[in-house]
Amino acid sequence: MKQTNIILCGIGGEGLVLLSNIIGEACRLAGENVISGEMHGLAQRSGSVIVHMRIGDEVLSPLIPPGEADMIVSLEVMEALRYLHYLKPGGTVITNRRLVHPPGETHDLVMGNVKKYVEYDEVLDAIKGADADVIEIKALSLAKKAGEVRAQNVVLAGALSNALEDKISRDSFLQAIRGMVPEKAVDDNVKAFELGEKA
Amino acid sequence: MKELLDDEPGKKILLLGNEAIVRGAMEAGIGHGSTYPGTPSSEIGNTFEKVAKEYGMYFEYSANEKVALEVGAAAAVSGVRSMVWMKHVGVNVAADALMTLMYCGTRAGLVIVAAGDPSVHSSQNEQDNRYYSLLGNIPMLEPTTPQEAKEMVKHAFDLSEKLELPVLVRTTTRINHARGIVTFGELKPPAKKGHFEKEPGRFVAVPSTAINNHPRLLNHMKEAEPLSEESPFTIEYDGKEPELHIVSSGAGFNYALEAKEVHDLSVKILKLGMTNPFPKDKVSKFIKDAKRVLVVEELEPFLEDKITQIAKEVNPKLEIYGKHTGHFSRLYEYNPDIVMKAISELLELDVKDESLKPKEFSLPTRPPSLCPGCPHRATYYAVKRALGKKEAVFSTDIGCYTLGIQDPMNMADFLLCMGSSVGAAGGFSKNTDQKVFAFLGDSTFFHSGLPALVSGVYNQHDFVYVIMDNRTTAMTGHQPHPGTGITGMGDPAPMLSIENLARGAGVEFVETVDPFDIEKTTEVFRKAIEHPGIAVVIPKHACVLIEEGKIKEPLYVIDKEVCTQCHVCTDKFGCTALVRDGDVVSINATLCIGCGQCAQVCPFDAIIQEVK
Repeated sequence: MKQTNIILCGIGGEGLVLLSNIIGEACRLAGENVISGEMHGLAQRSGSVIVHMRIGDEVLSPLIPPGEADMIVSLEVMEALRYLHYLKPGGTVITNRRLVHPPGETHDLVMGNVKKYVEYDEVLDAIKGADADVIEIKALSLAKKAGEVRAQNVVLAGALSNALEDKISRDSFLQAIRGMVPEKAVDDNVKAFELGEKA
Repeated sequence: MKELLDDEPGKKILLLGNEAIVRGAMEAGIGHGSTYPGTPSSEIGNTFEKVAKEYGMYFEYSANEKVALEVGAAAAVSGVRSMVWMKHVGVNVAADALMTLMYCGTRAGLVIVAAGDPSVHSSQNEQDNRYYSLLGNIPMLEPTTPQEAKEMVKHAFDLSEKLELPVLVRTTTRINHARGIVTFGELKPPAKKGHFEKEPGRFVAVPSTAINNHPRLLNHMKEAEPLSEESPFTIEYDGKEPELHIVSSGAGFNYALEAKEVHDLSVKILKLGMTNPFPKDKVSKFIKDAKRVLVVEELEPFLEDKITQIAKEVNPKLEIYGKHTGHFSRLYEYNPDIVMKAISELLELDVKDESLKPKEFSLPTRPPSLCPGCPHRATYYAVKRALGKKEAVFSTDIGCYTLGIQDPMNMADFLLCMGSSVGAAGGFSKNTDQKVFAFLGDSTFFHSGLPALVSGVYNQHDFVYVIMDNRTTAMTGHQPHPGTGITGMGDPAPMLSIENLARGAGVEFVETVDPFDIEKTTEVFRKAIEHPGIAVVIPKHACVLIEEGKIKEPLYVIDKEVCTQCHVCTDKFGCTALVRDGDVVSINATLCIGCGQCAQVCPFDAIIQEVK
């Protein structure tokens, strides 16, 4: 089957590596080949983080060339725009409806280098204006609804699972989540996944 | 991760490159593992933490890479299969031991994994460690995928025993931090305790021994040559009527193969698995009738220079493309795009750039920064307050606290490597009239801050030595160290006291303070600044990301009625949870952890705990 390339991005410490683990494990359970290129260490401390995921028989290297990602899944909207050059024309961006100001932006504002904070809608417009389909997910409120505020990543896994349904079964995703999140948080994470699916 | 211990050959599981390396070592029957954590090798240790005990081997976090190698070398010469791993710059620390260890050689297999970091994702340089294999005469393997990393580590143990030499497995970030499906081989039982058979003529590196050990090493490397020629990891990928020959190793190979497969190119690829000794015959045969060869390798022209040399003998007309012709850079890591561009230039292919081009948008950068609630921020703030308008040089070190380089702290002026803060601080204090601070963490203190402290006391250096004790090795993912009271295998250990070590070294001014008490910390720094000679201050507070440092307090909010919009909190303190919109300050509730540092910083008591 054809290869699927997915860029996962967000801010260090928000569970991006766990998200890629869940998708990777779901691939394994579904019998799909997968490889990912991750970032650990220094970059995880509130910095911009990107994970490359490639699913399919033909996966060769752990990095996706620019213009060849089928999808970008982002935990924060500015990060989706930052890595938009990886998306193929007409590709899909699944983004959390959330913007987090980097500390440097506050400093730029203080120093008078910029006049105002970047706003969510202008970032979204920039993404939409570049030949990308956008799916917005209110992952934070859905995660809260599921009872686990840290499960924004799993909400996005739910949203992504719709797009991957002919490759990875729903059960594979659920089994991956059960195996990878802390035992006491399983129910809330399954709920978060389901809310993401329906969002 | 207990799945890693399943003895089910053929089982496929999803593994990070570093986890695959651990599995490979266990499939080889490892008995000893030692390391000092460093990205991108850290998860090898993190994984052994979880499996070593159940598997039945010994594993330790040593104080630094040199110690880790010495411990591992002793295990191996006692007949215990051993692995030692570190990041690329860690080899610099271990190099003194390593160069002579090559002379002495090993008995049981000794595998050294050195993880490079092209693009400096999390390092101070991107040195190409393959040159160590030449400097030390070290047999070297370069894996390209997690699966191959596992197989190579297993193979490296056999190779090491056959040659009686330590073997280097050289990886890079895209191997260590690639995650893929790995097929298990048979799990071997761990090596049992060994017995050291004395052989001083070989293992005591005095001149009379070295004089014989050097030819011994060269002879063994001669024996390694046919093994390199026949390496099962050196693979030729055929192409019909090839227009181009490619020689490659490591991460770069994946991108070359991808270009060939995806674009159905008529190119031939020789992937080298063992790159020292260089498989001269294999490469000679490959390039003998070629017209053009492209060398795909990240960082330095290690293979390219060898091929240039060989081509002079076997094919002087060969056109060699790579770094010397400007087709590739000596900088940073590659990707499929970079490699495809070089190939398409040579094959005159028209590859369209189909990437999305969003319209100009000035996106703020998002570099890593100190976490909300990080005790280091409070320490830096207290130092600034204590200094007032006084100027000072901030000699910093390797750890999370290096992020003090950022706004609004700007408290990092000089840094080379692990432990450099202390020696450099002494140098600044002796050769300038500036006030000097050395900032380093608890784990870095044990790693290499101690000898520099002793040297500083002896030479009567004059600076404030700030040991920022957050009770863990934070940056690399929270590994224990000699001050944490726990070993790498999770057993209780003596908790070394930094205070006692400093006092034992003869430091008169040693003060420990909780940096969360900013007022008191400032007071301690005021005294330390006035103290002649070395003043050791230990701001001690656990990293907020580990259990010991978890904060369960209600979050803080800004009382808008009281806030005068003086902006001390945002502009001087700069916690990432504080957001300033125009003049209005607020606290981002999803980032705040309730540490209360900002409430202490606010001159008007406008930051208060949320009452629920």
